[in-house]
Amino acid sequence: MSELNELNASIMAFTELWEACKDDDQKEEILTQRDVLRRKARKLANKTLMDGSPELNEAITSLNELTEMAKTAKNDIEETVGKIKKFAKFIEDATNAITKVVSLLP
Amino acid sequence: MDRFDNIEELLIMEADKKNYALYKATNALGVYAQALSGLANAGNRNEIDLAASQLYGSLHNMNEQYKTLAETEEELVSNETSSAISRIIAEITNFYIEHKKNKKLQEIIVLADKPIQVICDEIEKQLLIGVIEGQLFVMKHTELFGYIADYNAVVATESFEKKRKRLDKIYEKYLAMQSSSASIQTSVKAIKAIKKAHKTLRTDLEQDKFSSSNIVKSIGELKDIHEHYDDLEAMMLSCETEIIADPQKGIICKKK
Repeated sequence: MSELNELNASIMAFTELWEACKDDDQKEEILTQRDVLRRKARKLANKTLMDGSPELNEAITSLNELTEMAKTAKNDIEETVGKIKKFAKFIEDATNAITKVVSLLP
Repeated sequence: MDRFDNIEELLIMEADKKNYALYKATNALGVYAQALSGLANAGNRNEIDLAASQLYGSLHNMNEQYKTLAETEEELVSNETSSAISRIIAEITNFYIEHKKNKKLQEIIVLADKPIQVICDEIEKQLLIGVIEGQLFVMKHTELFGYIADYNAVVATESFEKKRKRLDKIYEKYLAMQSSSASIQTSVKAIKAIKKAHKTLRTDLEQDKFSSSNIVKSIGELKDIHEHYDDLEAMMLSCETEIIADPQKGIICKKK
């Protein structure tokens, strides 16, 4: 059982104890103690949400690296297609340029 | 009543939400799905065919210019040759790209499976169920016992009808506590679906069961599943006040 689960179980036990208790002073004391645990639980919940576990952070880093690999591979592939387009354009430009120069000749 | 109101305090404080592990984890999954989809669709056949037809057009143009300039009917590069060159280039490029793409996709998906399984497990068990649902359960439990205390206070004096209504209310609260938040359950289901879909994809790729079009289809499904899981992540980023756990509504953005 994680620390947060244990805290939650204790908070609920205090709540049930508070409900069963008949003495007003004791009830107040139970609520005070429960509030201390509740603040602790909330702090821990926020910390878990904020920090994550070492396993989670390591997995996120690995996945982000693989994502970058996928992006690089995509760019490489697009570059290959781009090279054919450039080749076609090169022939077209060269042909047009030569035609223009030749047309200037007497 | 003061104490009960206090329970509805912040679950997620107003801060740089992009620093939260939950956000980082869901965002990593989303960006991965998009990058994979981008790679799977990169250099698609239409694009290559278009480049090849542009090449054919240029070769044809060059041939026509040559004939004009040289004042000859002799072909430098015949239309048949231009068409064949373009077709061969398109075919080789398609083959090369598909091979390269499939190999890369397989490598990435196989390597990504372990982190994906860890991320999905952590999101599901630690963050959604362990933290968020756990907090909601405690809140609902506290609320339920508030109703029970109210009931016990009047049990000796109220009519049977009124007491029955109170008991119905208590039962309703008990069921709500047991079922916890529907929004969390939806997210848990989506996370489980991502986990399963990726594992299937990995297994099939390892066994070479996939053709290129099937990979694209499977990755598309993976991306769709993730997009259904945007709610929590979107709320974390768009919420301008504070994100709170509400005993009735689950995780919500506090109204201004």
